[in-house]
Amino acid sequence: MKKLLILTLIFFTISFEASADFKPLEKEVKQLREILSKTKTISKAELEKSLLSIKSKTPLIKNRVARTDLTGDVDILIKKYIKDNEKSIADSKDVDYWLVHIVDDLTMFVEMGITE
Amino acid sequence: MSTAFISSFTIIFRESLEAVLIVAAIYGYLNQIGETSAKKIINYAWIASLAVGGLTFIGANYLFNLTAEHAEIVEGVTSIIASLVLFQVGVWFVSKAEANKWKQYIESKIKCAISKRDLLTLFLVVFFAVYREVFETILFYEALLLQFDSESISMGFIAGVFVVSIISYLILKMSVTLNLRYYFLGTSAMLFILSISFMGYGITELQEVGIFDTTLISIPKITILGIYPTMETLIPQLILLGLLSLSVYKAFFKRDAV
Repeated sequence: MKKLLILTLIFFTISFEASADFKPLEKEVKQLREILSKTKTISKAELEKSLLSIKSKTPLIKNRVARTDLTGDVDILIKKYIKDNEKSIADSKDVDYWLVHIVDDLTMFVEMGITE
Repeated sequence: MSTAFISSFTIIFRESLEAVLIVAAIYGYLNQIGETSAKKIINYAWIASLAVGGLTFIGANYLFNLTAEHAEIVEGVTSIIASLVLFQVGVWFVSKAEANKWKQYIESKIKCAISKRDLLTLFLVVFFAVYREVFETILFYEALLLQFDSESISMGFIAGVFVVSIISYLILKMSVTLNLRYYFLGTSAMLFILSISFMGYGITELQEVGIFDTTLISIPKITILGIYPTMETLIPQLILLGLLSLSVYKAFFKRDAV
């Protein structure tokens, strides 16, 4: 039992460290997705705040390629839904669809063993 | 086996498999019609795409400061072109699957060599199939090299290339031994699936940067087949399916079709 507990602890420590740099970004994306799931549309101001918050977490990723790729993905969303959007709102489902793209990219990097 | 080895192996295997399948299918086709000299064109095509792809990546990164948006546009446009050329080759293959037409075709091929237009189509399909993968592959390896030791990455790369080489060898072998009709039907099906997948992927890339709208619909997302739940990706894919049905009808049911 004691051995099992130690092994479980080691496993969780390793798992946590393995994606430590992605965690803050994942958390921000998850938060925005939660907000989007509750409303049909989101105001541009609120979306901008959330997207900038997501973007502020990308510098924490040490791997330059992963960092550049994910920052680029967020930049595209900012351009699309904030800068180029003439309306004062954005469709929640539409934004969420592209957030899943960021989640997929994160998963892909972790699967590649890129953890820092 | 280290993470670096597995990641490297998976990347080269996954990224090159589609292109290798296309190149091997075309090689097989040229074997069947005895046009071995045309293989040179195929070799030029994949070598040129590797070189141009590499140069585009270096040039875009260092000279023009490639943004994520530009990269998505390059990938999107390349995928759509690859899809259309692949579709054309697929239709061509399917039209040869019917036994009598194949016989006529072989006879006509003995009389005159493969046309310049045919060669250009084959060149383009190989070029775009390989070119669309080069960008992503370089990017992935760049990421891996920042994270892991180059020795494990190289070993993974070599192992991946070895395995896809075996697969392409088996396809080529199959092209010689397999019933011609089944070979053409099998390769046509593969080319059509890839064409539809490339179309979906290409449009998604262009949707992401806002070139196309994103109208969500209730269908499942099947990334591996390039099926995304949006109207803009689905409509061109349905058009391709419609054209495919038409070419199958012409090849197998319309007796007087060319």
